[in-house]
Amino acid sequence: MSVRPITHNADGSIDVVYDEGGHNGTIPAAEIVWGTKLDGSHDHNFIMLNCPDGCGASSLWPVGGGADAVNGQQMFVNKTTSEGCTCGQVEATDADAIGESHVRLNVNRMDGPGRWQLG
Amino acid sequence: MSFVRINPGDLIQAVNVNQIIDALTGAVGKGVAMAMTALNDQTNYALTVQNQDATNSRALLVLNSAGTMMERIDATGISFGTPLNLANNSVQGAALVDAGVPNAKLGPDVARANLLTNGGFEIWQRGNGPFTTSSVFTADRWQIGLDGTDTLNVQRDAVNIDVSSGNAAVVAYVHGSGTGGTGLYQPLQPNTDLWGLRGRPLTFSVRVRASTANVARAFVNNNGTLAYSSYHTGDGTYQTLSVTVTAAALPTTFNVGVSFNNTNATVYIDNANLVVGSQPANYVPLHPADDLARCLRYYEILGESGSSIILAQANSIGGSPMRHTVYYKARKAVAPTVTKNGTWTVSNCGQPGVGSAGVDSVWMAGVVTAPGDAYMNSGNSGVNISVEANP
Repeated sequence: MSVRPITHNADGSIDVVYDEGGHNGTIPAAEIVWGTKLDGSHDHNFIMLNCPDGCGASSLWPVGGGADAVNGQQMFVNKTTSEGCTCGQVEATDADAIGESHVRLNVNRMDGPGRWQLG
Repeated sequence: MSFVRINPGDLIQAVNVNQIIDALTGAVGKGVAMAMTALNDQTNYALTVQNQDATNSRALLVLNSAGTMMERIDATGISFGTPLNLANNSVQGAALVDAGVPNAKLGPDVARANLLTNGGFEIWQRGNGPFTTSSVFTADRWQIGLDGTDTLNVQRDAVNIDVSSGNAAVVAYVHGSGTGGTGLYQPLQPNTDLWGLRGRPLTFSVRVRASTANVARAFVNNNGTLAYSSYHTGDGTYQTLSVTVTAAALPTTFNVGVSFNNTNATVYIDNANLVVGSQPANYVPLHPADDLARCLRYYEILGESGSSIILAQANSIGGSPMRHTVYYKARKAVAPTVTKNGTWTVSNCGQPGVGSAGVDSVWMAGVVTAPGDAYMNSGNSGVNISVEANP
């Protein structure tokens, strides 16, 4: 299992559970961070979640959704529509549909058509 | 009345003639059963019937009292009425037409390929439970779904098992406001994983034990259309519950499992099977290696044994990154979520972080903090890497 989102809050934070440790809590929007490429730049294909309990557990979520397609993809959509994409293709001021389309494209690239689980 | 032999010169009695006529017309109580043809001859048959008409060759027709054909022998072959009762082990397999036994004629003890992962509930990589949260996985690939205020408590059970099983799932169901949507199920994804399910007739069967009637039944969610078996009768024994559907041509959802409704109960679930065709098949266990291999497609733990992973690098300076590729045991169905669990033992470097995760490997990285032998070592139980892909 993983540090996994269960509720997406209006302020951009997410409630998570970490089943192995029996931990749960809320991760603020600012601490929902993109993954990191080899050169140190951010990677729009991944988001890192650290267990809010501080136990040391951290989960790298792929844009395809990994262990939980619905909540995983929703996390990328929320982050992209609220702050733009780290790749620069989507700005925070863009319409939400643009951000969602960008994430959907990345989902299809990663896991193929049919993986998109959001409406 | 019986016939009286007529000798040459005797007058034929009218009663005898009537008897013959009655016999030929099938009058009730008339006629005489044909006696067994007795013959003591090595070459001739005791009874031979031949119709020399070359077109139809209608040799024999046997009818019952209702006039229904019981046996017919003519130019079309030999036909029998029903039921046809043959002695056990009396038909050689070679007598069957090649490819002439369709799926619908198969019995449940004819083994067929099980399309489920961990159908026997033998593998519990995430632990023995209890698991209670909606959408969480319990035994490998078996997921909880909750409806309304219903609750489930799912655990591994090695005692209350089906015949020839190692483990079962014991489910404590508490009925709330749910209306049958609560269940323990396996999601199959014909759109991203199990493409071969599309449009096929499929039969799901599962062994279920309950002591309360009308609580547990097998179900299939076929692209949103639910099909159910009958409920378990609550007799306290394992019963086979089965459902047959034809999968949608392009289903986005195809789940199979056991759903719960109506009242509180403890239910045991074991040995589930999903086969192509209209007939259920008994569960046949896989070799443990094959059983686990299926599970690893969706979930695995790297470093199950204490301190078994080490990522190391000798460095002459600090401040530089160290990166290592970690290969999974099995390729994943989709790009997985990779979790570094716990706090690792490190020397001359920081904690490992998870880099890009692919379907077959991931790279881990740490920052070297001082010259020398830098390493990151997984620790005791629970300090490891888990990889989870749920298509």
